[in-house]
Amino acid sequence: MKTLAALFTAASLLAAASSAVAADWLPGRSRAVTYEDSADPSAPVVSYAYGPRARATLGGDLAFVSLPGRRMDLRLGGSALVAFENARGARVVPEQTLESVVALGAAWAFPGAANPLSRTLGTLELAVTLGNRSAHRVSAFELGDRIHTTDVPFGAGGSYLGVELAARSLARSPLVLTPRLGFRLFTNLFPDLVGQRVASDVVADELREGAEFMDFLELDMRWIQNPRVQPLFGLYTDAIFPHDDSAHRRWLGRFLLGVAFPGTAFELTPFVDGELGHGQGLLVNRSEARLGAGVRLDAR
Amino acid sequence: MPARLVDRSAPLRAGFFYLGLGALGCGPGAPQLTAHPWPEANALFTSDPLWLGGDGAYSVDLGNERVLWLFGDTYVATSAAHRRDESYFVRNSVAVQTGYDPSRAFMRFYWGRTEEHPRSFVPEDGATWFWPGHGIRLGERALLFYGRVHQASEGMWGFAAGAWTAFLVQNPDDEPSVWQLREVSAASEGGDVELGGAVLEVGAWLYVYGNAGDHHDIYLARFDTERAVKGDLSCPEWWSGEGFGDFASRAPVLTLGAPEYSVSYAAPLGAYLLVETEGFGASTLAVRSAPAPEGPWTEPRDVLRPPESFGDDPFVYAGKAHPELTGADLVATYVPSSFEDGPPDPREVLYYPRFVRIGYK
Repeated sequence: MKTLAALFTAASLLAAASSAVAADWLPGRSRAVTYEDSADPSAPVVSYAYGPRARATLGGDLAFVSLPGRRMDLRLGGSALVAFENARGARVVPEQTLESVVALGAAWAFPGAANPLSRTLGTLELAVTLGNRSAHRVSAFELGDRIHTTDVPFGAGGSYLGVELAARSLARSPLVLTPRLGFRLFTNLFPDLVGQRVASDVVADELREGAEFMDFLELDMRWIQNPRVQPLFGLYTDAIFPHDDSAHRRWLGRFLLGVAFPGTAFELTPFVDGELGHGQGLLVNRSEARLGAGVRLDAR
Repeated sequence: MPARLVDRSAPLRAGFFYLGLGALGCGPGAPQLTAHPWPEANALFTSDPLWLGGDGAYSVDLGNERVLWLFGDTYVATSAAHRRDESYFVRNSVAVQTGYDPSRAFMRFYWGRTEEHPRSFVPEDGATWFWPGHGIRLGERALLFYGRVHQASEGMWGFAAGAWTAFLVQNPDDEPSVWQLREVSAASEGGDVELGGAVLEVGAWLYVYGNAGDHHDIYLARFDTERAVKGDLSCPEWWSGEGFGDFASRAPVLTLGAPEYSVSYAAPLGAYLLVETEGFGASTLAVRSAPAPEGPWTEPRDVLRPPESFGDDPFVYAGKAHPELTGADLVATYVPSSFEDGPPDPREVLYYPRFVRIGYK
């Protein structure tokens, strides 16, 4: 938390010092390549889905300041997500487990016309974040899952340094593509990389970090021919590499198929989704094949 | 070439490889150890209804299918209810296992007794009590290391270790209840190193590991075996980093170690293995390896996260291997407990050592 506060302070100072560059305060989203098409189950969006159990997310992202430039835009901001999910039962209200993801960071976007690469590929964005994800039971709920010694503890959460590369294709055709590649390097990884395994263990235990490294790749597509009805499809995959040598890696593949109804201030997207692989938060050690349906609400 | 148990860059390399950046995913493989809980063997520790749990759990091969177990803090039942809230707390106890396979062996537990209540097997010396370390059979004798411990401040963590000592058992083939123990002549130097964490006989030498400092740095001393069997441990040689010398030249064989561990030679791997619990609280069972007793030792590699480490407020500790036991390539134990106050675990399931089977791949 101290690190996050220092980062925010530095960002604020940077923004203040750059006032001559016409900084925009609270300009909107924290990213140029936004998340509304994302198939990432941890995308900071508002959603509800059911199948085979109820889950809901309350998330959003916000830029505190942006420094637009001719060749590059810098955004300083953050995102937050609280995800509720039922581990058992058919209740429509998710109230059994909770996962939170909070991140602060900076994103450098290169608009489509900025350079030869972006003129070809579209908007490119590099984001660096400091984040934390943690998993909890809600109230007195007992998960009840059988414990395996190869399980990833602490819901595979922890504090991390995140790096993301994203792109959004140019609007030359009705099909907009948004690929995104990301890495999360958890705190306990760093002493491990320099051979300090004991220190890594202490960090993992003290900070309750079950994962050491995570990477993800997604490709989202939206057909924007019609400004009011826009089909979208996203594919997402990730891999969680646990801190424990004895724990098994966790994999996930997910698709999201929906139709977005963009409005003036919001966008409503009913969707169906399917997953194969690990769950989220405390359910990370489950391997499931899931099919569900839901709705997503995004601010525009 | 000793087995490499750890490849620290594996997560990153695997991550890149997974994403198809194959050039970054190449690298040498490393031998793996597998470990699984062995619940069938755990009944050995619950076989005596009066012995309600203990930690430490060091083992010494006495030969002839007999294995001595050395426990630290122990609960001894004082009523027919056999409950920890009706028990007496003693500082150490022992047991003898007959049969090397713990899933088929039987065990008898031993502690001392006063007229009023149970007492420690090795009785207290005033305000000082004795915490077990490792030991070894030496011919007709057995040498058992103990640490002197006293209460330096209040609270369950207020204990402090004093000088190490050792006891020579004159008649180890007899029942422990009739053992004749003689305290050895220990070196006057080396008070800050708690020798006795692990003991090995290598050639003509007795190698003894010990901890020092808040970070549990591990040092190695060696004694002439012929003198040790007579109870003379007054002239240790200390590993200096380059050879064995006097106490002043000592250097740790590894830093950031563990307060309890075992060291044994794994012939199939051609390496010495150090088994320990890694972390504090929700610990894992981990293994280091080295080509020689003095090292160089690898960083620890987790082989098992005990099921108890997934619980609420766990305290899993005392991991160590028992190379004399059969039923697996290497048999190990750990002790599960919790940080709750009072007698551990109202359900009385925790605080009995748990067996683990480790396999070499």
